[in-house]
Amino acid sequence: MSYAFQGISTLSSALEAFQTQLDVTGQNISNVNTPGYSDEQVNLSESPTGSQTYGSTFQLGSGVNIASVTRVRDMYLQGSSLASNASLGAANSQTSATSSANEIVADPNNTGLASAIDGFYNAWQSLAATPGTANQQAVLQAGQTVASDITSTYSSIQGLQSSTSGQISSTIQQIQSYSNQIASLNQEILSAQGGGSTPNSLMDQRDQVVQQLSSLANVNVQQYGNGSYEVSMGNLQLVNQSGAQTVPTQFNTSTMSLTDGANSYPVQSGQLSGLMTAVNQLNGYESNLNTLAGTISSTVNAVYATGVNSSGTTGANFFDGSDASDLAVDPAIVNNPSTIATGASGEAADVGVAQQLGDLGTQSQANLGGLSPTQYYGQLVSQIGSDGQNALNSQSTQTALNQQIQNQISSTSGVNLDQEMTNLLQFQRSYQAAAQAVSSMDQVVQSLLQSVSA
Amino acid sequence: MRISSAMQYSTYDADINSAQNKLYTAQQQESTGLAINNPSDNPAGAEQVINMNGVESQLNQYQSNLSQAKDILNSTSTALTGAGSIMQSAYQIALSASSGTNSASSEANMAQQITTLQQQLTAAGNTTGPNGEYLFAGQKTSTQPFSASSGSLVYSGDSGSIQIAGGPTDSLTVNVPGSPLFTNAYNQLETLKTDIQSGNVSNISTDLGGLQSAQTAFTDASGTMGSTADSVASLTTANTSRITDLQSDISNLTNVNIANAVTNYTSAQSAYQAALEVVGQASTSLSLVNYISGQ
Repeated sequence: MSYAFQGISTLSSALEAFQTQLDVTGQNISNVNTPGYSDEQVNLSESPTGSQTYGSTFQLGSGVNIASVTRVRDMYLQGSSLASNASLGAANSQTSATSSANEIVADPNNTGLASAIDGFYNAWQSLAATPGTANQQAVLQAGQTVASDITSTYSSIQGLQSSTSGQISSTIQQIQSYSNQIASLNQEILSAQGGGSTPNSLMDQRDQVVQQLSSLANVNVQQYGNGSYEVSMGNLQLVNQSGAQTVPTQFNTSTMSLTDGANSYPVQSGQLSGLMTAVNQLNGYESNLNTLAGTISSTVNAVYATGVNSSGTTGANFFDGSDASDLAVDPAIVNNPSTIATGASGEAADVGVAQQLGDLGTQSQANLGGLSPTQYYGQLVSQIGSDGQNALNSQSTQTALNQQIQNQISSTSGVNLDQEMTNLLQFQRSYQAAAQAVSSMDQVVQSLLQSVSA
Repeated sequence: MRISSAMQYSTYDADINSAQNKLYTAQQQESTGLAINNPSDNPAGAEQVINMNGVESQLNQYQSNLSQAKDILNSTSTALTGAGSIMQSAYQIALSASSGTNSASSEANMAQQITTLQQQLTAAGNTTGPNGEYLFAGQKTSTQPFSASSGSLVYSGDSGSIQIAGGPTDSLTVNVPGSPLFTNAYNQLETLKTDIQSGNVSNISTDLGGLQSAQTAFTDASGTMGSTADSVASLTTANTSRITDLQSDISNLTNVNIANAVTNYTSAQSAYQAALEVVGQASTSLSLVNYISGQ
């Protein structure tokens, strides 16, 4: 025996289900551009069979039930994107530092340090060919140019290095801040789950923060049984069940690690490692410049000291300073360039010493690995260039790889508007059909009531 | 593969970005004309350019040294030739004096001429070069080397040589020791003058040989300067051709091939345009939204 209102109650569950599907479609369309948003879908199931028996053989169901609203998410892809984000983060930060270093030594018109070095030794050649105060003045100027070009190149590289070190500190702070956010989202998700709901939007937010964190360092995510995330960077725990941990603020670029005094935590990837690699490279450039400046200064002084100037002074220095930070022409020469010695006799035309100094420009130096000063600088420029080129190449490779993984994630979890529009039509038609069925039931019941009352 | 809408647009974005980057690089190369704007564009090339620029700048320095040497050699050669002519004139006077038929007044006149020649010889010994330096003073180029004093020439220079580098291993000596040449010639003239004044005809005949050898010494020295000048000329030519080669090598590395640059630019521009058109079309017509009319 069938109850007259059973059908209406069944259809009411259908209207509620289709309404929810329309709402979720609306939510999906609204978040088509939201980073980290996962496409949501309504999972429906048939309602449990009611107690009525139709005839003696079969029973009808009582409509449809909204089982859950879930995120479409592939956890494996999420995990592989962490490593890719870290590699991309490393390549990006390194590219930015090495590009700046390249701009410092960029010398397309031969106006930089290389030509200053050439010019300095040529000035001695000129003085040897044509002794006199005009060329003594020229030697002084060329000496000042080479000294100031070396010191200013050095200080630009040093400035770049200290700003890169500053970025390391702020990256560490950012890691701390993301860890705090993940820990508090862990908390919120736990308490929402305790209330019996599935906090999809909080989970999306937490995944999004993990993605952002993963570009800063090599992080690993483990999920506890209760759904909380444990996040670590190598042997350093960033977030665990007791909350966010304190990230050490001390770092050592030569060992590529963070340290809290007691322990050290290696940094393997991410923006943090890119910045540390850049600092190490910049340190190398600085030490090369120091070697160059020190060698120019000591080789020039060794020869210059054998000269006797017009007032009989001998054993003097041409350059003061021993490295790229303090190379300068000796003040006695700056004050009076006519005291520049050119030979061992003090005679104006004795240019033996000037000639030897001019020849130094093309002589190979053991301190410079058997290269001349210009060649040594050329090798440094080539080193800076290939560091820059490697970083750029790695950046473009990592960008492409990361794009692929992001596409795969987006392919699974992203919103497709065409699909949503199709769903929209389907859900709308379903809703219309259910409403139409309610109306039919209504007519059936109405006609029954009319015939009874008549 | 399922294509999400955000993925569709982020792919457009990446494609446009990459096309734009290529266009920018092509534009930069075409507008600067430089193939290496940063060492990272071509690290090995950047190093080569620095080394080649270094060699070129040194060769240019040698060229300037050689041109300086040429000026000095020319001045020295002219002065030596002049000194040779002076001795030639003295030789002519000695020839006529050696005939023994000259009057006392003509002998006095000849002695006077020799005195004038001695003054000219002293002046030739004190010739200065292109930068006001004394050419025959050894290395004491700022000291006047010769002055006549009681019948002989006093030398205040030294015996140092002046050398100019014309190449890494080409050191050129551009002076001749002035003292023996000029003091010897001066003494020959002084002897001749004394012999003319005393009318010692047989001595004058002997003097002729000395005068001739003094003249030859000047001519020989001038010849040495001439052959050094030849070396200067051939070094200059060799350097010029090396500089030309280097400049063309440097230019090959640093300058873009304009035809290539224009082609690259045009193809980068087409690619960029195509990327833009795809986005324009996809966003205006290719979406289900455009085909569902309101219900």
